[in-house]
Amino acid sequence: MSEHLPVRGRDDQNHARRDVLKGGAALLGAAAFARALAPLATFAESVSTEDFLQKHYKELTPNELETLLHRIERETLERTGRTVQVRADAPIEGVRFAYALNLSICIGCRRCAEACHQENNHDRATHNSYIRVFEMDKGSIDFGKGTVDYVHPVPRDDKFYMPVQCQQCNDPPCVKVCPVEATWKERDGIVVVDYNWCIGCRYCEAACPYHARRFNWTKPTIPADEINPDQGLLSNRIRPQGVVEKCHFCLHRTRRGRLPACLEACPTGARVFGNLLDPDSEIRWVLANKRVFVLKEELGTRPSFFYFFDE
Amino acid sequence: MTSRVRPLPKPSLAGLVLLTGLGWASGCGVDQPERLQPALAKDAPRQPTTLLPRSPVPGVGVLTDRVDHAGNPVRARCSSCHATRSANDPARDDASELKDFHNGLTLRHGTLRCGQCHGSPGPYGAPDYDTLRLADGRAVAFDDAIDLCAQCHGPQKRDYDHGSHGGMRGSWDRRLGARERNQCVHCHDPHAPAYVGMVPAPGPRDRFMLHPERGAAGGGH
Repeated sequence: MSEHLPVRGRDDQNHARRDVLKGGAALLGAAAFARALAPLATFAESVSTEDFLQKHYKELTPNELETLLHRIERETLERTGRTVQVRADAPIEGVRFAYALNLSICIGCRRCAEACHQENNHDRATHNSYIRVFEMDKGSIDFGKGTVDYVHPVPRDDKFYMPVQCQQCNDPPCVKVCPVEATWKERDGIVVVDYNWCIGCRYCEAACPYHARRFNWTKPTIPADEINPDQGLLSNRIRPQGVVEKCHFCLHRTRRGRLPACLEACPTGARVFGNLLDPDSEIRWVLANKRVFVLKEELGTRPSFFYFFDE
Repeated sequence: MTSRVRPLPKPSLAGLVLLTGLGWASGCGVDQPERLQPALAKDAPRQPTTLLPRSPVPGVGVLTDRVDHAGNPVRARCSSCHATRSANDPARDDASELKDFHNGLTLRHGTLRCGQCHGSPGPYGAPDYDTLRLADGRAVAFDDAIDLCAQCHGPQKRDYDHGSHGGMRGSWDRRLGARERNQCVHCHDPHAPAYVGMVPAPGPRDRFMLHPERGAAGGGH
């Protein structure tokens, strides 16, 4: 039998509907694609050519480092009108930083988080800070039951307060997972981030067991008169959009011998900072004489941040 | 059917050398030698630790609301009254009934009484209220009150000396800079020393709110 069933032709009504649907879907797809590419339109403004071609921090010769610092200072002046000084201090030999926090006298006032917010040129809209203070029930270290957004006067009798920031681990998971080696542990123990090299994949943010790393979803906004002009290349200079940042033990201060901003702001003196390799330092006395522990010890990260009780 | 795809040219030794050479010449992937600041010398001089003054107005005595000819606030020295009149029952433990002076003073420091800290035995046996007294009667200046607190609060004083109580400003190593310390009385009113507490600074405003039911401002309890 050579008779075929009638075949629907191109001039049928159904095909017109199909065409309209196809056209509409194609239009939606194109619109979504254009919207997705929209950030690239502003990309050229936010990143200069030198920024884009910037070498890794560890590969910069001293001259190139100087040039980079001056370029950042110039760009900050152009964008904000503020004259800042960006430095790239090297670690001090024979120094290994560590931090200890006295849970018996921390009252959860968040002055440390506020000082960090101001010292490190954080985004004002999210009130970002590297420090997060947990209000915990006495008798347990269950962070699932801790709160960070309490507003009542502190301290409450049935709670203790635990500020958490980057622990500068000695076996850091964030360093291991970075696909481009934009983060590494320096000789003095501080785990640093090269903001020009970071690609913003957030693997480190996922790997950190302490949620110490924060991602800049938007360009950080700070009023020009609130900018801290004393800046470090790897620490508190104004970060670009799309990079990860975290506590760096205020290395623009501590590598010059000054105490970190969070410690100076603490009204009770619950924070202790110093050089682990100096047997006369306060941090060594605390580790030898107090009831000291670290967070999530079972993960083997070996933090440089210790917590202790007085009793 | 034979493949129409042209095979890629085989990498030549010259090409590899060229690429590596370009990479080497541009410094690609070569770490610079590590920079370090010199270590601290063990015997380098240490800068001093200064105690912050216990009050913006120096001197001993009760602050009055008067100013002197230069505009400085005037203190009424304790001995201006207590040289000629004895203190009204130094064994009292409640200052609220005092009528002539020290009105409104709250004393809430365990079982302590006025005379246990105030009034070291002066010449001729009369108490000298311009100094404080240790437990054995020895006089200690108001500026050295830390030693008085340390008599009973030894563990806190030990912690303070080792930097884990009372905070500091300045340097983590005094070979690199000076340091300032608070005195006990900066945080603890000696007459009612229990730490008062404070309203915390604002918390994080996260991208995804931690407790959506509390609202954007974090709400209140």
